[in-house]
Order: sequence, then C-alpha cells, then structure tokens
Amino acid sequence: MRKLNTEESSSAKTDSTPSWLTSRVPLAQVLEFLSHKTVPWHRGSHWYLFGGIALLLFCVQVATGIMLMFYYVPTTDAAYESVLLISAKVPFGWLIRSVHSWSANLMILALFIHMFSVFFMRAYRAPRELIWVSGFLLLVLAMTFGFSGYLLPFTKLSYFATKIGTDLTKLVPVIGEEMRLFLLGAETISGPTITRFFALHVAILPPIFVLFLIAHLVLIQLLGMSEPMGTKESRSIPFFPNFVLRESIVWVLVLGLLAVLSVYIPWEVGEKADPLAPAPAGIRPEWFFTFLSQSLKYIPATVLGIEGEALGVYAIGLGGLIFFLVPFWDRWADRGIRHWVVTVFGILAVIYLVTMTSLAYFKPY
Amino acid sequence: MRRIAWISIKSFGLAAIVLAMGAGLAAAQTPAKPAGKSQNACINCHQNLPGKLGDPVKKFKKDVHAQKGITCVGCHGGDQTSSNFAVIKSKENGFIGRPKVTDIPELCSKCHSHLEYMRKFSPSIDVGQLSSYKTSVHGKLLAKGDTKVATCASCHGSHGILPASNAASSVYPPNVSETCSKCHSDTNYMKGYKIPTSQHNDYLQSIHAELLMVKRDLSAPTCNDCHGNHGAFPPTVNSVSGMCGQCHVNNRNLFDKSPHKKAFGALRLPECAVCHSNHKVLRASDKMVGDTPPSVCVSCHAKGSKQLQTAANIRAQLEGLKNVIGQANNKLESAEHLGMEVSEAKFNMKEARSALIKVRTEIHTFSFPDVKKKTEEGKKVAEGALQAALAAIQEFHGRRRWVIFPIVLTIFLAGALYLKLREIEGNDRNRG
Repeated sequence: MRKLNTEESSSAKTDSTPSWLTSRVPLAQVLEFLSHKTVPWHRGSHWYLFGGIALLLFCVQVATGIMLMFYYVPTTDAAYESVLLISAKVPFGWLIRSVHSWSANLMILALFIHMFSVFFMRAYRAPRELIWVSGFLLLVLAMTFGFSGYLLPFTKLSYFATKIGTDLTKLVPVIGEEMRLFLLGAETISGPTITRFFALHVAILPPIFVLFLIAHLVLIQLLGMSEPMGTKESRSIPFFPNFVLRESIVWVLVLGLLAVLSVYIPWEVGEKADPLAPAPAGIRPEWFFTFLSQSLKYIPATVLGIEGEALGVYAIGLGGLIFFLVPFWDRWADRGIRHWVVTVFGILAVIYLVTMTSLAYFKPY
Repeated sequence: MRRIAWISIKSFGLAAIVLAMGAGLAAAQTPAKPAGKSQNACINCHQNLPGKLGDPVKKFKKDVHAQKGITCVGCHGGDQTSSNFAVIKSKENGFIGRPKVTDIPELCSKCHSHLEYMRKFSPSIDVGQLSSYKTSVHGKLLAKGDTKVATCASCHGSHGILPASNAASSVYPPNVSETCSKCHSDTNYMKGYKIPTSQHNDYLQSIHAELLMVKRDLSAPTCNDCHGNHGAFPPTVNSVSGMCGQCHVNNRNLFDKSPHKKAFGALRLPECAVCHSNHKVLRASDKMVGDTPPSVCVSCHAKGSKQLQTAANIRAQLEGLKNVIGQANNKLESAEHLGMEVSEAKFNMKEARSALIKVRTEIHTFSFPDVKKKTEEGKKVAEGALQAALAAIQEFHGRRRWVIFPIVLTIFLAGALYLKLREIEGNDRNRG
C-alpha cells in the first residue's frame, strides 16, 4: 500500500511539472516543430558541422570572457599586471584565460573552414545569398574580436602589432586618419586605446555579433540547409535527435580538444609593453591577419607612383570584396552549373591564405 | 673625480683652442681679441704657399679658435691688417713667428688662465691648466729645459685644434691613449727616461679599453683618468686605490679597511694593481680568488697557509651562490617554456644577481665572514626563486595528470552519444 502511494505521488509530480510548464511556455509547438524538422544529409554534410563548432566556441568565449572580466583591469598601468594575476594567482585563472584564447583561435579557424566549405559547395546560391552575407560578416566580426582582444593584455608584441594594424587604417581614403584617431582615442596607443578596445571587445561587438548570428540561424531555419547541386534524390535525417546527436558528438570532441590544448599548450603572457622601447624583432599580428602583413612585405615601397602598402591593402580588399559578393556574380550556380572560374578563384584564395600564413611563421623575411 | 679630470681635459680642448693660438707672447700681453672684418694678410699669403707654410691655413679653418673669431695674430702676433710685409711681421707689432717649445704653455695660458676672458665661452670653464702643468712631470722637465716633453700643442695640436667633445679631436676620450702613445710607445724617443713603453699595448688589452674603444662607453677610463691630464704624473704605490676608487668606490673603501692595505703599504706594493695590473686591467674573473692557479692569491701566499684557506673558502661561497642562481635561472626558463607564469620569481632574480655583484665587491674585504654574510643574502633570494620555479613545473605536470579526466570524459560521452545515434538510426532503418 505504502509502495503504491509513493508511485502515485511520484507519477503525479512528473505529470504536473510539464503541465505547469507547458501551460506557460508553448513547448509543445516547439517540440512538435523539432520532431518533424529534417535536415538534408549527404557526403558534404559533415562540413556543415563546423558552423556548429564555431557556435559552440562562441558560447565558450562568452562564458570565459565574463569570468576574465572579474579580474581584468583595462588601463595601461594595470592591464598586464591583471593578466599576470589571472594567470598566476587566481584559482584556475590560467585555465580560463587559456581556454578563452584557444577557443577564440579555434573559432576563427572553424569559421574559415565553414566559409570555404560553403563556397566550394555553392551553398550560397539563391535563395541563400543573405545566409552567406551574414556568415561572412560574422567572420569579419570574429576577426575584429581577435584584433581588439589581442591588445588587451598589453604585451610588447600585442602593442606593436596593434600599432601596425591601426596604422593601416590610415590607408582608408578620406577618413583614414580620423578612423585611426577614433580607434586609438589619442595620437598613439595609450590609456584611451585600451579603454576603447576593451569597450569594443566586451560591449560593442558582442551584441552586433549576436544579432548577425540570430539572423544567420533564423535564415537557415526559414530557408533550410542547402543541398548539393545536381542532387536528384535527396536523403534527409530528423533534426532531433539524429542531427543534434551528431553535432553533440562533435561538440564533446571539440570541448575535449580545447581542454587538452589549454592544459598542454597554455597561452603565454609575454613581456609587458614598453611604448618607449624600440620595436622587438618578430612582431606579428594574430595568425589570421598574418596573410595581410606578410603580403605587404613583398610589395615595393611604390608601384607606378602609388604607395605600395596602400596598393597591397586595396588589392587584398578588392579580392575580399569579390569573394564576399560571390552569390551575386556566380550566376552559373543558380543554373546548377559548377563553373571552373569560381572553383579556381576559391582554390587560389585558399593557396594564397595558406602560403602567406605559413611564410609568416616559417620564413618571415 | 674622474668627471672633474675630464672636464678639465675638455676645457683644455676649448682652452688650447682658444689658447694655443691664444695670445702672441709679444703681441698678446692681454688676451687675443676676435678680429674684425678687416683683411687677414697672413691667410691671404699663406693659403697660396705649398707644404708646411700653406697647411696651417687649411687646418685652421676647422679650428675651434677660428670659429670663435681668433686669428693668426692671436698667437703669432704681428699686424694682419697691413699690406706691408715689414709691418705685418714687425717686432713692434709683437710678431713672434713660430713660438719656442718652452714658451708654448705660457703662450696658451695668456688666454686660458684668464678667467674673465675664458668664461665668455663657458661659465664654468677651468683656467688652471698652466698651474697643473707646472706640477706635472712634463712641466717639471720642461722647466729644466727638456724640450722633448709634451706641451699643450703635443696633445691638442696647433692649427687644427678641436674641442675634446669632438670625436675627431686628439683628446676625445677614445683617442687619448693613441695621442699619449705617440711619445710613450716610441722606444727611441723615450730612451733616457727609464720608463716602459708597453703601456699603450697593455691598455689596449684591458677591459677599460674594450669598454671605451669598442663599446664607446665614454665613462670608461683612459690614460688621463688615472694620471691626470695637464698635471700628468705617475701614481705612487699607496695612491693607487685612490685612483681606481674614483670609479670603483665600494671596492676601494672595502680594500682600505682590509689587512692588505697595511701590508701592501709596508711592502710598497701598488695596491689594486698587484692583483689587477695597472694598464693591462683584464676583465675580473672569479678564478682570481682561490688557493690554486690561476688565482692571484697564490702568487704571494704560501701553499697551505691560512690566507689561502680563506681564499678557497671565499671562492667556495662565490661558486655556491653562482650555482644556486644558475639552477634558479634554468628552472625558471623551463617553467616559462612550459607556459607557466613565473614573472614574480624572475623579477626577484634581479636581486640575486645584484647580490652576486655585491659578493664580488665584498671579496675586497678578504674577510670570509663578511663574504659569507653577503652570499647568504643572495642565496636566500635565489633559492626562493628556485623553489617558485620548481613549484610551477610541478604544478604544470600536475595539470597534465588531471587532464586525463576530461579526456576520459570526452571519450566516454562521445562514445555514448555515438552508440545512442547508432541505436536510433538502427531502429529507424528497421521501421523504414
């Protein structure tokens, strides 16, 4: 009798919980939607998982970034010391900082892989042009996150790399110098610069990134995932639980990798920035900007009377713009044609990025 | 002290400068006056003459005196404004022609000992060169009629005198030893003076020359910093520590309190130079202390003596501290390579290295208890840093051991999810 009562009571509790919740949140519709939602599954589908990886790493970034904010002090006098404090004194501070740095770099790597996989599969073709546009802008925003975050520990390398980076903004026609001054908040990198970069990193970029992320995800929901060109009989799998389980396996593996990397190759702090000291040898921006800095080294000071550095930046910018606008000029893809011009353009872009990045690390001069 | 000595050489540069050409013995019973816009008959004529007669005009263009408005008559006398050769070189106008060697110091001093005149060029300029010179060996021998000795022009030149601060000047610090060696390394010229001629060669091998001439550290000493410039003299045996102590203050103070001070004085040994040499002062090494060669202690103290035992003990202290510092540095470097944060310990190591320098200075007390006390201070700091480095390395390996848990968890979770996926998809296939 006593046993029966316990079971009834337990059953009543279980029943009452969903009814209480479902009466307030329309979970049933969501679950109904998810149970019927399917996603296409084909040989190239694994590449789409990189989008999910980037999303996971962004969440890790937010979580670890908030933790770091408890101790980080954005001033020239205390920034470096606060990072030292986090790395040496705060319990597990070294781990949080290392995870933050590693996840940032892995996120950008995942975004690059995701972008090129979408490019080569022509997944940007109509009607998914805006998914591509929002995704590309998310990569640009992520790189801006990296640029602004690189200065925050105020180390020697980050100081001079940021100086070179911000000097490049001078090349923007008409408003270049004003842009540089706006970014720095002073003539040179100093107290106001750290404050501005910190504000950009933790207050301005995150909401913009989230807005674009929502737009990207909503558009994917509305338009569905792209299927490879020429597929006659498409195979699809249920989003829940099949796709979710696949993504979860990858997420678990990525989290494991992140833990191993953070522990085995912890992110070093480096030396404190000294604005009065000469620039040290081997200044290099974050790896995802090295293609740009390395390319500029090969361009002569002047080319046909034009400043070489400016010419290089404009040329690379033009290449990036053509890449960004691919859904609007690749009309072959809309007709189901995988044109060689687009493929060669993509391959050359990958070769260029990989070569320049490798040279920056293995043969910088 | 050395600074003062150098100021005086600099001022002499300016001096000799304004001096050498300064005042004609006859013409310049008062300091030379800068020439007006009138013609310079001397230059007009001599600039067209070959060799020795024309060279002074070319050299004088860069001369500091010329830049200050002093002309030929300032030293040589005569009337440069006349076009009459007899008037230009007339004794009535104070023409002296080429001054005699014995007259040069007095000639230069007409301006350079004249404070009111000289302070127009520099408010704190030294005007004591002549009185210093008279106390020097050079000055004393000159007074006895020895015209081979150095006078103002021997070091500063005559028609191309540059300020001592000019790198091309013969009295610019890195050039001084070369200037002195023109006479002092010439065995024929120095014959009869009964002094060695190897000083310059010895000096070139010294740490002082390396610092001054190779690293261009102008605070490093050259000849005049120990011997004086205008009042150049050979130091006496018990004034050597005063010389070296101008820069090596702590070493000198400790040496003066040590038993060696009294003993060296009694034996008439030249203090610092006994161990470090005089001109050939090599970079000091820890091997200089101890009871076996190449220690310098063994050259005086008998084998097995109490003094050599002290030297051996001091050396052991020194090596002990160096050993701990070396270990701490190695471990800190290893910890840093592993990505561990050890900047605080690294900063503390500066104190340990500073302690090592203090210990090396303390050796000049030749007192084992004093050296030991300083060594212990350094060891304490270095051992603290070593422990911090070891703890960081230990923590690193500890972290690596712990990472096994996320790895196992990852494999377990990923495996479980994969099995679940297979089960679901297997069921789907069976249904479909």
